[in-house]
Amino acid sequence: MDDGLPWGESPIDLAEEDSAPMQAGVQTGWRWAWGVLGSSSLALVLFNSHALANWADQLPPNDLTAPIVTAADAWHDQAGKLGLNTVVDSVDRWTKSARGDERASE
Amino acid sequence: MLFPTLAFHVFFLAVFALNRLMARARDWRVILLLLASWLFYGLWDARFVALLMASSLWNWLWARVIAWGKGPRLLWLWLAILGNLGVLGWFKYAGFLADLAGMPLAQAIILPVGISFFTFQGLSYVIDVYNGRTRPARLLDLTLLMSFFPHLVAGPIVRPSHLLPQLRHAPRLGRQEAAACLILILWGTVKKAVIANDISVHLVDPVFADPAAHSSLELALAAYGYAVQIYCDFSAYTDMAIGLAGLLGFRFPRNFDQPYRAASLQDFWRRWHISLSSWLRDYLYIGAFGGSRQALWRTCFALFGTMVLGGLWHGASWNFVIWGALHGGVLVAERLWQRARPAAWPTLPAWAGTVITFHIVALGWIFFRCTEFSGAIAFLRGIAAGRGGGAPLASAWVLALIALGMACHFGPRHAVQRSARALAVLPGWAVGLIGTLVLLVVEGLRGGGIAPFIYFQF
Repeated sequence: MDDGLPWGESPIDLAEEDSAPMQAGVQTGWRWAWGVLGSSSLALVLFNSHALANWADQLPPNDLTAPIVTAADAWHDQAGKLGLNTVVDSVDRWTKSARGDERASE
Repeated sequence: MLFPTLAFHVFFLAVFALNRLMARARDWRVILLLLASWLFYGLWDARFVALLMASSLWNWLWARVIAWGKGPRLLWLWLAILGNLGVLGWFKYAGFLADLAGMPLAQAIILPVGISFFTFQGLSYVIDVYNGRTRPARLLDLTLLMSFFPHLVAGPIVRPSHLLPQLRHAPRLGRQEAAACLILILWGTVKKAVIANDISVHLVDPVFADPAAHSSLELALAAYGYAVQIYCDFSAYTDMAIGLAGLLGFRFPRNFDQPYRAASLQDFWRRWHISLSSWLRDYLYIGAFGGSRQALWRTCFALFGTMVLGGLWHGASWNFVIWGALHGGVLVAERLWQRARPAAWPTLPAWAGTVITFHIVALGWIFFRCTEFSGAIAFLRGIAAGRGGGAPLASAWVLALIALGMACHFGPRHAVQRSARALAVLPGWAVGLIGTLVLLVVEGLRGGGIAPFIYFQF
């Protein structure tokens, strides 16, 4: 009764971690995950201004959100000029041609 | 708040950091996760947070009464069950039943997101306490079990005996576990934002909206496309849920195991939405109907009845009943065939079983996808008519996505775990940059916004 999820029934269970004492691993796991999340978040702010602009555009228009939208759009333009949007833009162009979106819009 | 969005990214970073800071303060950590879960749920519709709280309180109260051991325990259990089913019935089935009775409701009832999931969690808690499978939990712990945001709106259905003990210990997160969580989140994002979204927008939605305007081949492709879409959509949600919960120090059970690889329908249900199918098996098929340790006709009835009720769980519609009846009927046929098949007859090759099973499942998905029975029949007639059509809607891109969605069923079973081991040896910042590159490609591939997950409506 109440013995938790049996080991191996979760896709995140990795066999060698079960037998190893977890104390050291626990700290390493948190720190490591934080490194991944922190670095990817910073990189996304730099290289994915599309997401920021899209999010800002969906905010309800009012005095409070207007400066947020302006700042997000300004950053999106600036990032475009600096070439930071190259990956997303290139993949977007390639995908549109693969989908045949041009054909559909004709 | 949808998982693969910027708003959720910021929300999760905050919860991840605070959860780590409170790792040793057990109660405060539970309170933090509870508040985060209510915020997550409240952003859909704040009114239903009260329903979530009331549902938790109801189940906690009756479990206490049952565990107290005084009076008719079975009656207390039934009262608890009826309360849960009453709420579920009101929100999900009142309109359907009123229509059947010819007295349509004056105002449509808004369905709270995820009500079927949290009601099933509550039901399994009181039944488990009654059966002695789990100890009565504190109100705080039970409320978190039912409200925990990674699984709240679309599962997986986490059993009390699986999650509650995890609340009693400090959270653990090994480096390889963390890598597995991140891979699940990324792979889930790809499946949802690219495969499911594109197949839906560029093939399934337009074809199902007007079957008469499309050729038989396109209708068949849309049926295959929907089979891949619903798998990629739903499994993406649970992959992300498992990954997010894992990063917060909780282990959730596997919910999908390459379901279209199944060589029989029985096998399919061991691989598809495992947390629901095992719930239905334990609480309905065995618990309510008596399971397989009885006369054959009663076992067949139990199997069929379980699947029909499983269909109804998805919503109040005849098409869900037909979907459940189709699965129940084929499961009964498989069981009878297992008994009646002459031993000397050759068995079907596994690949043939896989092909047949996939087509039965795809047939069921047509009823699942169409809102009206007549629409499903028109769709099937369109496939059978063998009619040609104009310019094809299914581009090579969409066909490639369907092929990719199918291919992941036949790849290595432990690909996530193997990749996690490989990734865990790299420094965190390097994995962060790899993850960023994947997300940038996804952003470019996905085009427009993200549609809500299919299972949110259940």
